[in-house]
Amino acid sequence: MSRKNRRRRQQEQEAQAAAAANTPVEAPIPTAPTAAEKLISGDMVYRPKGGNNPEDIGANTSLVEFHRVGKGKKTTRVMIDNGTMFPGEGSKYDSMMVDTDPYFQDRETGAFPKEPVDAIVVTHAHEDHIGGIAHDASRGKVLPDIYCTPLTQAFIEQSLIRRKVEQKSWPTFKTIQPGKPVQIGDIHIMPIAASHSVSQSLALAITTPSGSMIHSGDFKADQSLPIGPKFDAKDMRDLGQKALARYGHERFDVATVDSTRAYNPGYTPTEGMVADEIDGIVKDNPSHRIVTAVMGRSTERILNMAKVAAENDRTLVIHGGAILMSLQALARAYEIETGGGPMTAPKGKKSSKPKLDMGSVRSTLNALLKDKYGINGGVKILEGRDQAVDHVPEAKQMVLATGTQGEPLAALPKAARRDEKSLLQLSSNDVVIRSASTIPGNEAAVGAVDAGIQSIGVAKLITTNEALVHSSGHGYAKDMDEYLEAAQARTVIPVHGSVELMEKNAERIATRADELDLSLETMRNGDRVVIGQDVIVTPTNEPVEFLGMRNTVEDPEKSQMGPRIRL
Amino acid sequence: MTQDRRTPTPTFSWDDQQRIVEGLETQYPRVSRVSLTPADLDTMIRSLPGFVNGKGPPDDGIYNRLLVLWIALDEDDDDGRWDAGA
Repeated sequence: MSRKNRRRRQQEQEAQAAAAANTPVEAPIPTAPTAAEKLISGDMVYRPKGGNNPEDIGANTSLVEFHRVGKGKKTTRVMIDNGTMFPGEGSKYDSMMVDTDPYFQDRETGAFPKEPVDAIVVTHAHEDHIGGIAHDASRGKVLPDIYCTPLTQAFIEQSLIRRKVEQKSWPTFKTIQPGKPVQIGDIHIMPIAASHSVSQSLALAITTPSGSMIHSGDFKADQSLPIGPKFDAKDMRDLGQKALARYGHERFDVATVDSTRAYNPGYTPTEGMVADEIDGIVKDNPSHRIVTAVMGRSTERILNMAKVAAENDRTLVIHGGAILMSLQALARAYEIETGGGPMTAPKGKKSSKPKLDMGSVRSTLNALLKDKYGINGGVKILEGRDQAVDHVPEAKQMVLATGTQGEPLAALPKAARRDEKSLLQLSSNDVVIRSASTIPGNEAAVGAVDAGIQSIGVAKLITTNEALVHSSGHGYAKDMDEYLEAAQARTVIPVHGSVELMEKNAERIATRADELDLSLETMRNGDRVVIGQDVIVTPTNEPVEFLGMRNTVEDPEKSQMGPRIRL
Repeated sequence: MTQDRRTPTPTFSWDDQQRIVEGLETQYPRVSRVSLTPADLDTMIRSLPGFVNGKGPPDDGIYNRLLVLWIALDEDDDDGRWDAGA
């Protein structure tokens, strides 16, 4: 070894030793209250700031606080999610988020917030739960540590990259996973698996010295998710009991419950049922190209479509950036989980000629297919723009496209209107599947796309009206019953919906209140909920302030803040 | 006698990530990005006209960031706005 190399090696070893010395060794979290903790008194308060909106669903953002009183008086404050809301047509804003100025320090002025937040805990990677984080970072807020699963981190990172937030301004991410609790000041949080359309979604059991709650996150009881982790009632009960034991509680004081689709009777169809249905369509149409439109972040559906392609010896052809972003996020999540992986150069390689021998996004997808479904050969995957697609017979193609909601610039709508720039061109040899429901408000746009597809004369257009080609990420009534039975809380509060949806959910739960031995409360943005032996919801009558944002014309990834809005 | 008036190609390096991905899109508009390894990306970046390696890639994560920025160049609506009710 040359002197130069020895010196470099020594420097690397010194750097590693220094890093190890700086890494705090986290003390194990007690499984029961310590003698000192038994003397703590204070109040647990839950404060919904967004998510319980008059009309639109979104901007899910809430605070959980523990105010320790007496000797050692202090407040621990955790933010649960920080999402955006997308007002419909007619609004002058592209998106809105809760005004977080009271909670985060301003990087430029150094101004200290009135109600500092110690950590953000994120339930899952949908924009109505994470969208505010990159906005806050790009407008100069110093964000606290973010606790989330690897896939959620990967999607947040994408937003930070797209908004061109310098890495030195990124928050520190701390990985959480079901069954591995974290302690933030006086607040103990136990992540619990919640099935949803985007993988690695969580419910949270939150306990403090004086009270406890379980937060449903976005939830359905689907047992068929390939990536998951998926909801399991026994796991929720067991982990709930462990969380309660942390501070010596016996039963959750509060459970919040997802209201989005709870008005539907029965169970929401599963992702497995949808995959089987689409597999049947593929098998019934062996000489046709299959074109399936999916929502970009439906990672469970995307993996299932890769499985269908692999098992039917078809090449997966991707049209649309939102799907590519999901595949990239899955690869990045794998990297985070394994501490190295497809998109990373080997450690210590910062030379001008790094030796890069890792895999690709495709290799992650194939690793998932092998791990989750035992498919060894993987799937052939191409982007629609790749000239190699021209050499794949149409009957051997399984196309995944964006544009389920009729978005003008997405792949399927462009193809439907025969946009000359579209690389996806439809023909009479195509079976088109729209694997999504139509979100209220998008009926006209979706209808126009369907009309365009029909006018081209495709072999078939299959939507949720014709076949079971979609499963909502939100549970129906029976899914919610499973959750409530597993949570076993004394008081239930509907969340995640418009007032109308939350009231419908409350009415339905009320019919089972005696049987489940629970009482019902309602709350709105801005309310304070004191959680303990008694659950007291106090309307503050203080409208929550939202920030309205308009995307700039020059750079749609950047946004300009409008004035504060009171909702 | 005429003078050579050719404008030299402007140079750029690893710190101009937007320039890199725009260069990649210009040079490789028909490549499947899902199949690219960091080694592939590294080779493609170094082949871009005007690219100067300088001190080399700043960190291991740059390939990941560049891939995101490259995909973000696509003309495609992000359907994340519909996540809430889907």
